[in-house]
Amino acid sequence: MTLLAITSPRPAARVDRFSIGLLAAGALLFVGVLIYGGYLLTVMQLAMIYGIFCLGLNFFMGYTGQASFGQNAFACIGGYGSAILCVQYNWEPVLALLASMGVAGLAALLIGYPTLRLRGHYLAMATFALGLITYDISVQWTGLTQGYMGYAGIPPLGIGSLTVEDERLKLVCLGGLLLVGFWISQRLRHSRFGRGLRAIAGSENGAAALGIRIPRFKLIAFVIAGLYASAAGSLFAHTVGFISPEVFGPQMVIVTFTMLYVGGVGTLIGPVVGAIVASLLPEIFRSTGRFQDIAYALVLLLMLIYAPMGLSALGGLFRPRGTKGEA
Amino acid sequence: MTATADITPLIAVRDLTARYGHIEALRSAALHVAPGEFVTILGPNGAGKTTLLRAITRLIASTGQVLFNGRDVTRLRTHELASLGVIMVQEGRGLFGDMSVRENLQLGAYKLSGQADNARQLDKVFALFPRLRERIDQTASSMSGGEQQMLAVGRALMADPKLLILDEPSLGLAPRVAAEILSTLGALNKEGLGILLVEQKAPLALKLAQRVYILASGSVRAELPTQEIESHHDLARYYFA
Repeated sequence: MTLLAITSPRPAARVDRFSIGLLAAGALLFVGVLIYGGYLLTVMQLAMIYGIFCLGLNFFMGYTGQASFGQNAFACIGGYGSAILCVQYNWEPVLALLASMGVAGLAALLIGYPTLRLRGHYLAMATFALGLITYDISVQWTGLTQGYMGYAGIPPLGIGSLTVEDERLKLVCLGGLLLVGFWISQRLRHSRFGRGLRAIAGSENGAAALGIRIPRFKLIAFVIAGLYASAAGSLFAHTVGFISPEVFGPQMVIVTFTMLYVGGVGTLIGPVVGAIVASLLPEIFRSTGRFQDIAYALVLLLMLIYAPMGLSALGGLFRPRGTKGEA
Repeated sequence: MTATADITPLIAVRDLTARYGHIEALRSAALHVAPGEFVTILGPNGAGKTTLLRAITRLIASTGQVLFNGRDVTRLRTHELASLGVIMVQEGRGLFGDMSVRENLQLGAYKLSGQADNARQLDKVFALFPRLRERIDQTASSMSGGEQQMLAVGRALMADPKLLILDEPSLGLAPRVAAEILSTLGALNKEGLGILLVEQKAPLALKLAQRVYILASGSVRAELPTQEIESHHDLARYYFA
């Protein structure tokens, strides 16, 4: 797995020019959608939410190089936590979001501790099971989750009497939260902790030989991913106002994996770029009617063939050879 | 030069046995390195040299006993041994190829807490391998084999090791580059660093080391001061004895 070469001596310029260009394109799209309005606003809102989810997933799958097919479980905890606390108990949305994150983080810690002893395919299977179990619980435990009915009437985000009702304002808020998530990811990636994670992705033996406590690092990365996922789940609930088990079902795993790999797993900006591209792409093909899915799949295939490391790694193609290594 | 019994060895290995499935790759190996000593392990391919080093650093399971500065470290894990100062340069260097030279070095200093420590170690490494300073922002995988090996050794030194273990650092390098790296090890040893070196390039290793262990078919066949090995013929006799 090739990581984005981020090797400038100046910490301020750790993201290379191509990445900045991609982010700028993303920002332009964001502003464009904001002005254009309409249905695309919702698409972009979801892109922001998925972006937050993928930023978290990238900690575990990208930086640390582990497989988790079950992060939807933590989004489920976040979504239902927010829904139940707000609808049944009239909590403040922000408090409900934070409380759900606390529960999801604790769950990730308790589940991760035994599960992360597994590696490779076994870890993938175990985490996949986690997602399926959570899905089943959300369907079967009707007393808590109202089963297939789901929860409706979840209040929008806000503090006190200040609520974010306007669709454009919602999008701006979500964009802001995505930036916060991105900033945290960027800070951690270049910290001692982040280097440790990436060393584990490179070689577990090598990392251990340098004194890195691998089980602890993996667990922390798993918990961080769980926290991001939970926040994304809560934000979904507050943005859309309705959740049901399908929202956090296995489909979510496929969607977010697509985003992560299209954007570039392990790269800093990959999750954000992937979330925006994979969300907007189907809309571009909407005019093709029933061929929409086929066109979308074809473009995804082409991307994975010609940009196997993701869109954000394409920058390596334009770099002079030898100065920053192969892409 | 030979360590005497009354000095506590830096590292002492007793009765170390390791298996891959049913195959006993290492049989009751015993060795020690005295403080400030340069010890080399020679042996043909498949003798169990790498297995021995991996068993010492707990990268593979083994039975037997490992003492570090007289303390039983047999139950410690790799990362705990590393924080005690037992640092290994793995076969094939074990660099993080996608990361820059700087990041690789920073990872080496993972156990040092302060920024000041970090900078001091970095200066030390640059003094030994000025080439690394020139390449500081290049990704590790884009460098030549020799440079990568310098980085691997430099990264190990960043941790301020008490015992440096090296698994065939000259593998795949041009003779001149290999000689350069090995003689750097000699210089480090003169400053008091304990070194345990597995090497195929026997003549060079024998020039630097004070003692040599001959390993063959998974067991230690001989232990002798390097000055006693006078010719390759001698060595060959030990290899196949």
